[in-house]
Amino acid sequence: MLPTKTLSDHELFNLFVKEQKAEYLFKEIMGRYKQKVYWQVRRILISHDDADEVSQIVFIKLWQNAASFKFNSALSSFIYRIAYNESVTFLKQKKRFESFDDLLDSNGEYKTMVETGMEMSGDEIAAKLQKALLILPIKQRLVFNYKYFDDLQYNEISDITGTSVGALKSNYHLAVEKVKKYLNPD
Amino acid sequence: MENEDLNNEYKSRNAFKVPEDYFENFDASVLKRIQSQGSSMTVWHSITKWSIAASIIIVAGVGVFLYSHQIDDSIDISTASISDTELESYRSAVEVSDELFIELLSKQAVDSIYNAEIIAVSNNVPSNKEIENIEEEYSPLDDIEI
Repeated sequence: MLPTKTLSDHELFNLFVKEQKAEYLFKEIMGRYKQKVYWQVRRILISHDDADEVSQIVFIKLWQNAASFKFNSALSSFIYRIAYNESVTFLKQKKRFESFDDLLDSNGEYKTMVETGMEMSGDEIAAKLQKALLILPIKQRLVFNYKYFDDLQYNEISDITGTSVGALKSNYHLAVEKVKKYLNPD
Repeated sequence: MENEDLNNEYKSRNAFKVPEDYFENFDASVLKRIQSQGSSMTVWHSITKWSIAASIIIVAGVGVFLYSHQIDDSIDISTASISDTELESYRSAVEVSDELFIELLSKQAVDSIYNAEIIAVSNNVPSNKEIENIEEEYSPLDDIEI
């Protein structure tokens, strides 16, 4: 086994493809991205079981579609794009939304989860922000998560979601205004 | 930037509960699913492989069948170079129906058999004298009681 810790993402993934998908290389890739993927998905789906299922599918799809990765973009964007697509597909399958202008929580299911604390850590300040995010349409919620929690640049978010940078900026601005208003009503 | 407009203290806080050792066991869960999908893919591939092999055999069989029937249709041409002796020996070695055998024979052979039969029949035809003798020896009136 080759030392993998010092390899860049591209070097690691290139080796993974060339080495016929050696498991130890895939474990290194998962080690780098599993938490980021899980939290991105979890912030969209709220439920741990749903996030777990989708996160696993993300890495299974990464394994299956490794050959389709073009090395002219970042591996992180490739993985996050799979995560985004799988999350949206999951929500559509569960009929949680029809349009990106819809609220994620139209039937109040997620609000119940947050308020009852079923899925929550117990941190009240963090829970308050999550309640605020439930009032956002899905497209605003997504861009807020990527920008605020993951510190992604607009061009990266554009790569992931296929939305123009201008639209992302506009949605993020609207999201921040609504969240601030919710958190500080006065 | 825009983030500064919102209190950054939310960022470092974790709102959600995660089961203990979840991330430690995550890799194993994913690899297990990949392996199980891989083995089901292997089974599917072997089924596909055998299906393809069976299809090739069937197609080849149908091809041979159609080709051999095409040969039967053009048998006059293909057997033209085969002597009648060879056909006779073939017939003795292989079970061939009379109809097929006649088909296989060349026109010349059929003619020669036909002529031989005619000669044999004409050799056996009794002369007028012989017929008269027969009629004398056997009269149908002898059997009739008056």
